[in-house]
Amino acid sequence: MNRFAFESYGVKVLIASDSPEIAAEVFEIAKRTLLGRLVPIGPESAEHFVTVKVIGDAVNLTVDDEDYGVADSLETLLKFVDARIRLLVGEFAVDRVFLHAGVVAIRGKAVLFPAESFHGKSTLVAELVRRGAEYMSDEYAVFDPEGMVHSYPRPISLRSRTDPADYRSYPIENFSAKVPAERLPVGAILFTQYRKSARWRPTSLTAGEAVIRMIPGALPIRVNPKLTLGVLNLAAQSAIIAQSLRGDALISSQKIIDFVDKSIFQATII
Amino acid sequence: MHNSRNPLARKNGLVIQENPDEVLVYDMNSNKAHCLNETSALVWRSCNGSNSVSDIVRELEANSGKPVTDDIVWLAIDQLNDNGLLEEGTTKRFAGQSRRDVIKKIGLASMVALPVVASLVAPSSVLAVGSCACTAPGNCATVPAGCTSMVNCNMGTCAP
Repeated sequence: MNRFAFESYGVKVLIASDSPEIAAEVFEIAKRTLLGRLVPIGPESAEHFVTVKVIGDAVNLTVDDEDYGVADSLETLLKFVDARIRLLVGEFAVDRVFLHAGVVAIRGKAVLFPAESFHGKSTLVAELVRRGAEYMSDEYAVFDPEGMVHSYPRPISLRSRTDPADYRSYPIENFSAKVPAERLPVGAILFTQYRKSARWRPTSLTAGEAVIRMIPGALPIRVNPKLTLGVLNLAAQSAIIAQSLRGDALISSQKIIDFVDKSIFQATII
Repeated sequence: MHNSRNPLARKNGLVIQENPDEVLVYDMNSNKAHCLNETSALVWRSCNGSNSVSDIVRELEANSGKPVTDDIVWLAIDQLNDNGLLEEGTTKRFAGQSRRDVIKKIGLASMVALPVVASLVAPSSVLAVGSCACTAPGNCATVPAGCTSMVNCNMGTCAP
């Protein structure tokens, strides 16, 4: 077996394959998908295992105790591994809570859009960045134990306007985006979802309601419920919280910026 | 000593976050998260096994400075019970009645906020954090969100 082991966010992972090329490729994927935030470790230290076996012309993936069966192509499996490694690290990260959310920064405050995949958060994030917001992530809000948010600035994954099945990754440089180097406090948590012709009409939620709605997207909730609940609650206590449907990101993004501006910054002017 | 007629809040297997006017509870046994509004939070805190419903009514009135009826407290107790936040053996007052019917009975003119316990089940695994929705098989490879297939988009869901 060919092996590479690394630690990322405190999670110790061993990648193994009977093919040296596949093992090396999966390790490159891990480095890329974790944004280089990993350090090599000795294989004996690993606590989680990603194994790819070649079976004839096909490839089989297991992650810890889960067997994902056989992929129809190596390309398919590698795409799956890309996302699966992120979930693995996000679930078991030490002293971090990974939450599915788009995140931008506006004047030093993180603005979160908790949402599942395919709910338009990347499109919204991209449009907000084009309008001057700083880019933190289109996938994860990464909280520390004090409820502050760290950037996870992976390439932005956008759906083609002509072919909804076609997703492509765009480097952050394409957007001339700035990424905050430091962690930021949460200024706003906005629950929003695209619906054709919808208008941005936010209504407020309590901190508790926001936490409940974030729970399904919090990767470590079952593994570390105490940290997860505590951190999300801390973040929600200091934030403006609202919900609203939204229409096309081209229009709604400016309304959202205006809302954040009015709610967070103008509200503090005495 | 816990009188089977006096409600007792469950503590084992719960992660609790207290806020000034809400309580968040994560039940590690059922992997459910609950948000108790101010009224249900006050009732839950008063369920110590010794307090009768009348005692809890008095505590709620003392805390809120507003008149409270037995029915309001019983509505909270029933909701807490339904969500597994009370020890077993607590009697249900409004068994078989919908929340709407109960609220009609209590009346919307209640001075204190009606008790609310909002609940949500955490996904069964990290893979279920997200959606298995797809428009093409390519979606299933990119986001393994609790899906049973990484290669097949079956009627809008990543499944064999």
